Amino acid sequence: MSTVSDRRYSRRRFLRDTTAVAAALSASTGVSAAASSPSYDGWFTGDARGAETKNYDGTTVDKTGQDSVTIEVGAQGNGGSYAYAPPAVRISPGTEVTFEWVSNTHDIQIESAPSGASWEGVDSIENEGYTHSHTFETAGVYKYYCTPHLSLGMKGAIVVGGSGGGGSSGGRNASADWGDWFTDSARGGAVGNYDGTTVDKTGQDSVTVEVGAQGNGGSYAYAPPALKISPGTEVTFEWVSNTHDIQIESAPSGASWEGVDSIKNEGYTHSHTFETSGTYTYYCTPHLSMGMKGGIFVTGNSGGGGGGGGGGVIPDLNWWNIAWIAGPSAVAIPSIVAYLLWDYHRAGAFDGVLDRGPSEAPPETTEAPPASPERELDHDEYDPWGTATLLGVYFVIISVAWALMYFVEFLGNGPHIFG
Amino acid sequence: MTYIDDFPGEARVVRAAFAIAFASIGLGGALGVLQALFRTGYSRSLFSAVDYYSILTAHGVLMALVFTTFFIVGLFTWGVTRSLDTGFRDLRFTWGWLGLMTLGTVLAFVSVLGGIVGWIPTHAAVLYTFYAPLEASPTFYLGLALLIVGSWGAGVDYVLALREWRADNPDERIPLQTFMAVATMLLWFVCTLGVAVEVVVFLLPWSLGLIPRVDPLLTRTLFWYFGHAVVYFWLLPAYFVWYTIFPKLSGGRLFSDPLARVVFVLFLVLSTPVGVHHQYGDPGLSQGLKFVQMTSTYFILLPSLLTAFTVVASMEHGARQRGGKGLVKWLRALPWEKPSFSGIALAGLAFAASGFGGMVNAGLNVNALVHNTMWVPGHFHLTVGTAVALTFMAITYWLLPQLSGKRLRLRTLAAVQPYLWFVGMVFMSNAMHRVGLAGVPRRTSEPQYEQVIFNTPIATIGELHLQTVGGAFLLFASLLCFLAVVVSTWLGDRGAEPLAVNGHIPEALSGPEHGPSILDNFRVWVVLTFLLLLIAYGPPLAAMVQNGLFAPGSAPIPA
Ligand code: HEM
Ligand SMILES: [Cu+2]
Repeated sequence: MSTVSDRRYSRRRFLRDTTAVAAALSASTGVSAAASSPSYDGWFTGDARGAETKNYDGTTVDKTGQDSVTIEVGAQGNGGSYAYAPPAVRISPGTEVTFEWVSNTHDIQIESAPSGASWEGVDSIENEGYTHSHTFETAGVYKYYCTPHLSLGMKGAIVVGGSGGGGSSGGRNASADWGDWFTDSARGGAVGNYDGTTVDKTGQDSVTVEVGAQGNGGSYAYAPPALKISPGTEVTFEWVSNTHDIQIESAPSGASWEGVDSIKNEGYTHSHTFETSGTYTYYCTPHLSMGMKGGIFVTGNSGGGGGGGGGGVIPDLNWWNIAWIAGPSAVAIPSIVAYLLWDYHRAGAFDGVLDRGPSEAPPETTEAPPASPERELDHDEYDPWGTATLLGVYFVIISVAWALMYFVEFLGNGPHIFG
Repeated sequence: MTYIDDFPGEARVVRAAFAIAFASIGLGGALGVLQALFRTGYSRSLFSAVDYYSILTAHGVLMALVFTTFFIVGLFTWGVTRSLDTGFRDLRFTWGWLGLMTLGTVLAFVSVLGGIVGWIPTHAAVLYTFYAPLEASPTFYLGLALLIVGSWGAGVDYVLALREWRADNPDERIPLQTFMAVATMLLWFVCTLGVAVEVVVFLLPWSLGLIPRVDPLLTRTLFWYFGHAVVYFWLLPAYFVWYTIFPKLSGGRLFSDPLARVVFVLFLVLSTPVGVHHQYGDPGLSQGLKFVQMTSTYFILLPSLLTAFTVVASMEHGARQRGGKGLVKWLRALPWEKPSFSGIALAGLAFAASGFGGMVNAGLNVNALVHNTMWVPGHFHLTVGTAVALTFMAITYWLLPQLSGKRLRLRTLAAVQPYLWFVGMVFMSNAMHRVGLAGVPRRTSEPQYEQVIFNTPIATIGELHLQTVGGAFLLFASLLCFLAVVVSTWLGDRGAEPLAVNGHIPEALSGPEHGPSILDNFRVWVVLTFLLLLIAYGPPLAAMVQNGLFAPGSAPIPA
């Protein structure tokens, strides 16, 4: 089943609360995946069909132990928006992978899959906003590509199994993938106060990040710089020194966080509740060159936990909508039918008497008497010269206005079609 | 005796329709003020920049689709039964379509509200021009479909009433008010066909996930097939008031009945095959097609010019009967203190001013200067937002007493209300036009960009923003006056006092017998309408569906 675009549900809040409990209860016995990266038999090189996949740098992103994983379709890479991101992912059996189209005209053709696998990819060309989900049960390696952009290297792979037991570890163990955001190769350079750890605050309702904390050679740090939370967590940013802002470098599609656009000083706070899962990166405009950067990883769209308990499957939203439509009509149609039956019955029984309204007639209204004109003018005596004058003046005004518009505003300002 | 005594059942229908219309304009006006405050930067803390689009959608839908449609079906119900002097055959049918329209409105409105209120699981920030690729919850489309289907019921009621009357009066000319109501509803049937296909065949199945995608160009074209004619569906009821009631309010008589009929026939035939003039910016439509429809668009200036002449001449006739003299001095003899008169006169003035903007919009090349800028809302707040809305409010002062048997209350408030609206709109619309010329985009919650400075020749953007907000507050104040008058009149006692108005409408100076009787033959005009439509829309629609009904514009690149 495929659905289009993100929608809000009251269920989400409900799920957040329940899964927060589940996360607290579930023993974090997750086995971190350390299986070696497979080589995919050269699938990502130029020797296979299509060109080399440039956004594949040899790493397979480990998402084992998570209930759900998102892969972007049409992300930046391979010389345009022609990449699956991440291109290679390892998951546990039973994980639901959601492919989210973030640009137009892509599909998912399966190159190879383990025998017995049920995944069929997406045969038709789809556009931004489209999503496709599949729960991968059969272990093995799946390879896929995009028909229109195969020649540009738009290829991907999913490895199912090979590490931590199916879903025994909570979403807490999903590791954040910051790409090169905290390194030298991203803009602004390396982040001094990032030591490779992502602070795990999943399952908490609220978390605080300090803005302008000590670090990066002065009070130029977000602390902690890298943070992992569950959807529905409210993050409060507290300014502890002056002249900082929060510019968003990247955010998952559909996210509503807008950062803080203007420069603020000590004492200022900004809060946002993160609902959309994915990786958010941000920086401070004045101190970007000092390495003042940060990231927030929101993991699991049904909450951070959901491990052993197997988080609830969100009912497909088409059914939700159909119920929402059918509900009112289910009430309205029988009521109308019942009313009509009752009405006919009544009309027959009382011979239409009741249809005539209440027996006591309302008081009759008196209108103002029609006014008679001061002097009666009929057709032959009346020539509308005043009207002709007014309309004449109107035409002059409107012609002058139009000429000004055409010759001054339009021809006088570029760009336009006459040179 | 007044209308409510003659047709108590129909009067109740009209009052119910008006009540919903007034609730919509009240709510929509409050949202309008919020938008004005937000986009000019006066207040950005009330809601988020994303919620702006849900609020804008609610404003557009409540004003342009709900307020107008409910008022129109009410007004025509009054006009048809009054002028034919017969009630509808079965009021259960009448209540049925009104109920359907109401159900649709609630559904659509709640769907939009879902974008702002978290616990409602819908969203519909698709603006009142709800074409793809923006997508709303299915309930939004369903609601609009019900609103439209319900309004078709109104048209059926009018046509049936006319046929019944015709059987009893085979040789008489159709009364002018019924003629106008039926012509307008025929136009409505023809043009809503496009939006019905858009919603039922494409958008609804798409939003339900039954079909994976739609062709944005096709749905846009279907929308604008409806979207231009709909402006005449709003405007013609205002013309109905201008032609049939306004002369009496001025103290005179309609100048020419046949001319009025010609105008309505021209609108019926010409208003749909011009929708492409809203798509001058669209790729995928040929320049030739745009040029042809531009030419047809200029043709529709003709019936509006005829209207300007007939209506002003009727007004002048009133002024002269009231003792007015001179070339322009007669204007002072008119009853400017009466809100039903002044409201309509000011509405007409606003419409004349908007004629200039309309000429600019319609020009294929000049349009590029203002396309999708604030100029466009500036323009249509003069047309639908004033020429139509102010006419409807003004005629309410005259009509409501006859519909309820209650004398109008708070008459001083009523007397200032049209002036307040007019002044507010002069400020708001003028400022919108001018920031639009400077390039400020419409439908943008925060129209500010790092690399762009908007240059205005005379006032600064800041001053124009102040004018926008000031105008919006005046408009809202005017709206509150209107609602106060309506509510307190409604709460009065029926029949307690004699009314200050009467429902008598004098005959035209030149009666219908001076016009050819083919004017009354709607069959001919409907056939002609469809012929023109086939020519105007046949080829482009055929080209669009050739590469598949659901296939978007072009094949994927690079292949
Ligand atoms: C209290 C009076 C009113 C105020 C303050 C007001 C204000 C506004 C503002 C600020 C916009 C937004 C422009 C943008 O961001 O693009 C707007 C849009 C609009 N208004 Fe009004 N307005 C008022 C009355 C009306 C009336 C009476 C109508 C029609 C009967 C109307 C119809 C519309 C429509 C159709 C839109 C466009 C919505 C869209 O772009 O989707 N407004 N109005
Ligand atoms: Cu138009």
